Amino acid sequence: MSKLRGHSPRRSLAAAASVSAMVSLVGLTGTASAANGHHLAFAGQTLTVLDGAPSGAEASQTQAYYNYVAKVFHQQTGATLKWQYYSSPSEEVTDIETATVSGSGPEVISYGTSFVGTLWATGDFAPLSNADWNALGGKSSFMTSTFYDAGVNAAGQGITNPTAASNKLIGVINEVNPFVLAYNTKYFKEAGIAAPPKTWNQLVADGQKIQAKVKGVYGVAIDPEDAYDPWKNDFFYDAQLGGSKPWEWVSPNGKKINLTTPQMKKAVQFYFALQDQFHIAPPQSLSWNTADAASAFEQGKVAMFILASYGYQAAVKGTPVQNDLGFALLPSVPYGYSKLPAGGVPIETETTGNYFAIPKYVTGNLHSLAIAFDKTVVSPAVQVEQFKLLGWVPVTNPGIKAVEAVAPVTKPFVQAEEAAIPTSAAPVWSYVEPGVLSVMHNLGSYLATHGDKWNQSYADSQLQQAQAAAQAHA
Amino acid sequence: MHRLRERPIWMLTPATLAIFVIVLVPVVLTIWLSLLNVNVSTLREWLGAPFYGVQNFVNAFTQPSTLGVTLWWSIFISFAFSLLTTVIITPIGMLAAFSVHRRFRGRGLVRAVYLIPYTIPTFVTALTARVVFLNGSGLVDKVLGALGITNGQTYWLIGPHAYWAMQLTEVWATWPFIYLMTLAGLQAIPKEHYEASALDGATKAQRIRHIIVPELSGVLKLAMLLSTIFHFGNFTLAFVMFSSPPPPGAELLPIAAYYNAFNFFDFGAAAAIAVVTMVILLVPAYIYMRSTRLAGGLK
Repeated sequence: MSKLRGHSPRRSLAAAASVSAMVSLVGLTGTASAANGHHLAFAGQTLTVLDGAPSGAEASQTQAYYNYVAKVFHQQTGATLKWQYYSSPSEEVTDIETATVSGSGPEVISYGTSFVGTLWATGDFAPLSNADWNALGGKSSFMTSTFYDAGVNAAGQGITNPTAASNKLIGVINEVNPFVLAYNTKYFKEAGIAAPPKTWNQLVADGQKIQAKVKGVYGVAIDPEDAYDPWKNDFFYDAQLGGSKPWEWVSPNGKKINLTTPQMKKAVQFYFALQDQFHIAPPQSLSWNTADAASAFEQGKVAMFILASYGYQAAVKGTPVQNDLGFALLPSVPYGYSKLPAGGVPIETETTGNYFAIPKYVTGNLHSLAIAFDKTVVSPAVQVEQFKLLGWVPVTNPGIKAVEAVAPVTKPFVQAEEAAIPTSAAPVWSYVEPGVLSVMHNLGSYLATHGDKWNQSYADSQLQQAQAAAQAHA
Repeated sequence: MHRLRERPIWMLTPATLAIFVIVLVPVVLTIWLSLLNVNVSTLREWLGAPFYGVQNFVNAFTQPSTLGVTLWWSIFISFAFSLLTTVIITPIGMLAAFSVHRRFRGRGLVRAVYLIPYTIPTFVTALTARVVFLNGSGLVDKVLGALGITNGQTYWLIGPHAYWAMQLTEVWATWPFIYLMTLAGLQAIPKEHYEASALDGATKAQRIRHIIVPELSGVLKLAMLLSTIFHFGNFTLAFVMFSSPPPPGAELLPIAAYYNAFNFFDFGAAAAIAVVTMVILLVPAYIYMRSTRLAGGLK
């Protein structure tokens, strides 16, 4: 946001105009091509795509995105796009399970990064062929890091070399949402802080400075009761400390769980230290989820919100902080260090975004139509529109070029995503993630009911329990 | 026997088939599923999943799940939650019913107000409770703090208090069920009984002891039984009210089954929990059938 301010509006407009012209041209070409009969084979057909229901603060923007994709898809193929929605992760699972067992259902299924292992393990999704990738502009036109999460290798292990020919990619990514630090520029200014923190030491110091200068405001929001954020924080911090690499919480062969390393213990402890040691997170935040944390930020009660995404700008519209929102990459040097410790990975985000997979029961002409849908959602026109509407970062080189022309602010986020690291794709991940979540929930409860006093042996026993429970299913 | 043959028993065929498909087949499948090692990899061909015997049951009872609790804990919490709710709401519901049994001005309005908690969908109640029980800023903490009962900083949604927050919410939302049943029971008592007792010079206490209590006894037992069964299977409240996964105090049996199936994709374990739940609920179900004379069979 701050970088947008420093950018010449006229230049932006000119760039936007040329991108729009380019995009329109692409659109027109597509329409003309359809009119020429190339896509007439799809006319009159309907493609059903399963995706998340528009909800929350970005509901209207999400709906507008769905409508736009449907319109472009129809122009390009002559077919009708029907969105089928799930309203929660559990409903998503139920829909996928139903499709898996019955061998029928939506022709394209959308899924987030945490679902890779699950979808692969069902054996119901066909890896994309070279012909499929060529139809989408070739693998080389996509952001390389996204392939980590889009599939597994021939042995069913998480991909560590995305360019290997043996890799089986089951999904096409359409957007990424690198995690960033949202911060209140006004509070930073009032506290005399020139730039957002780049290390966790700086984040703690900035939080303390802001609390000292701005009355009634806490430095940072934590959300240990959230269904996602707590394990993601551990995930980054553990890697920065040089412990198990994030993809090694589960060993590459999916047989060994590594949740009890010294670095992991430190990662868990540091997250809560923001509250019980440095006192820059409100005591109430021990019972917060991400909605509570976001709300506290939007009401100006906290100065920083960890694990926001660029799309968060849509949510703060109309709130007291709408003109004070700044984004920065997450700190990448652990607390107590001036530089990365030996073996540390400067991870600022995981590979996170949305993919579309085609179930095996979709064959023939319908499969081609599903690929045409993939082509639509990664086209520059849609990539620009999704950024405008939702702040979703593009995934293809032409898309990145088009969006950066409109909003250069996306560049650091794209760079962060290019260096992103994935979670394990092993099926046992379905035990690891909730296991770490339970650890964080229980530690939050413990602190809340024991006078904010950290108990390392209790934390160790919790991690041990999560390790044992997951190991039993590895 | 002769008369039995004369009855058109064949007309029960559609109902029997429906019960077979809707009830018996799922029950048998669930029991079979609980004996298999069905996970995300074997779900597609689940009938061919490795036979696991009673291992799913053994694991559930002996090994803490990823959420850190065993099946014993979930059974304990479910029993405590359902029985305590019934024990608390029964006198509340009865008193409410007595209070609006006799005619008075505005009785209709009071009766409607009494029903409000019961008409609110459970997920709405749970969402509201989530706000009401927020630490520090929630209504409960504010009231308790203002009254000096607590310091106004109790964590209701996490830790050991979570169970009590859930319990209180369930009591608030469900007492009208007992109220409705009691009121129906009261209204079913024939006026002649009261008139006869008045002619006999019975006191108020005697009327309660010899007319109301015996007449209400059946419907009240039934209400308590149904109430316990309903609370035992309540999934929505704990699922919506707390974080995911919920705190141990909210690890009810349906929650445990849900997380095993839809978070861990361990459908065998989830089916085992479902079977245990079913066996536990067979007891009150049998009592219910006996009390409504459904278990007597043809005579």
